[in-house]
Amino acid sequence: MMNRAVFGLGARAAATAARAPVLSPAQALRAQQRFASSSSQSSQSAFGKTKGEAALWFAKAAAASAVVGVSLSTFVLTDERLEPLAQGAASLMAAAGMPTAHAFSTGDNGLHPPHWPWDYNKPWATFDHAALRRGYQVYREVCAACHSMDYIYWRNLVGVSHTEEEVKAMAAEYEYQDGPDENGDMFMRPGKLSDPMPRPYVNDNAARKANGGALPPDLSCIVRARHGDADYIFSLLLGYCEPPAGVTVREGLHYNPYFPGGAIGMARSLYDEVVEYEDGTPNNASQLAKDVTQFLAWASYPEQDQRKKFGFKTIGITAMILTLAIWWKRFKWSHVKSKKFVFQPNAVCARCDCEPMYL
Amino acid sequence: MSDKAGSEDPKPQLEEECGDSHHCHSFKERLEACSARVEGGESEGETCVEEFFDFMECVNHCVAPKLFSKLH
Repeated sequence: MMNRAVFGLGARAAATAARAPVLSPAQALRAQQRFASSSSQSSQSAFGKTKGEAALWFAKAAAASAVVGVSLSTFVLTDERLEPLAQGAASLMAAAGMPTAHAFSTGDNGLHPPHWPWDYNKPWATFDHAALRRGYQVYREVCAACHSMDYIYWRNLVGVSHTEEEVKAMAAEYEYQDGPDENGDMFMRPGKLSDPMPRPYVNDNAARKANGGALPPDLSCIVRARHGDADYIFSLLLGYCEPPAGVTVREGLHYNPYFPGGAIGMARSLYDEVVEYEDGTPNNASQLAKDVTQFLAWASYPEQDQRKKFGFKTIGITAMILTLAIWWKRFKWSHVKSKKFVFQPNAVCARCDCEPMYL
Repeated sequence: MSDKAGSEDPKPQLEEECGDSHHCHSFKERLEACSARVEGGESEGETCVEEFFDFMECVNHCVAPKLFSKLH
């Protein structure tokens, strides 16, 4: 019994010894040198004997192709002598009956607005609520003459741009129809917090009639509703200019390159000093446009401040939980991961005082 | 407060500076050439929208980072 157990252990030791090749110190040194040289010195490739030479070769090749590419493309794009080539190809295609493709007409799609550096677009930034207050003032004094905001209620402004008392006073300046009373008649009453922003026109047809057939869109979600978001609104408000040569705008329309098609029914309405700010902010046209655009962005994304706060909390807490979960898993699995199984075919019973069952 | 613009709009001035800068110079030349061509009646049915848009893209790219630093 004892012998068997000892023999089992001995066999295992012999097996491990047989797996590892036995090297003399000199051999080991040579092997090490061979390994070191093969890693530091790449094989004799076309790019040079050493890594340094190969890197230099690649750097030279990259620089040369950059120079050739840039000069070639500049030559092809700008050289007038090559224009007949392109025209010849076009006329050949026309002669062959191939249609000319006009997939994209810039004028019909409007000028793309630039990315204005909005502060509230930063991941950690909220809306500038002083700007929202000024923006509401611009909307009320300028835009609200034609544009409704049906989905914004007076209560939405409370705690965002104005205090509750201020909003109540502002709402009470407008009359709303309510009823029916005990006689079945509708009656007018001052506005409350639960009323929507007053409409400039009773319905869309009246709005069209008053604006030369063009319907001023509702501004509740206008920033969401336009390609380019707030960038588009800001650029459009300030983008009015003389039409480029060859473009004629119908009577009653105005040229604005950002508006798809170029001819917009709305005239420029933001000029310097059309609104007097109560906080003394300079009231130039760009400032007015920036403030009202931020206000409209808030109207479209009123949840933004809260969303960012929740996002930070979610990412922070999830990161902590994830770290804890990884540590917990490794802790629980440490027994399994560090367990070692040894297969001993001849040692049926590892404990030496017991009888082998069979063999 | 003092370095911010007053009630005068900083945008037109910035646009003019950017339009005259060397970045947008070639676009401005092309736009002017086109305007002269079209207004001179040299080409039928041509408009300068493309040239104007190219020029404005350049100007906007230049104005966008500068304007907001002058506003509140």
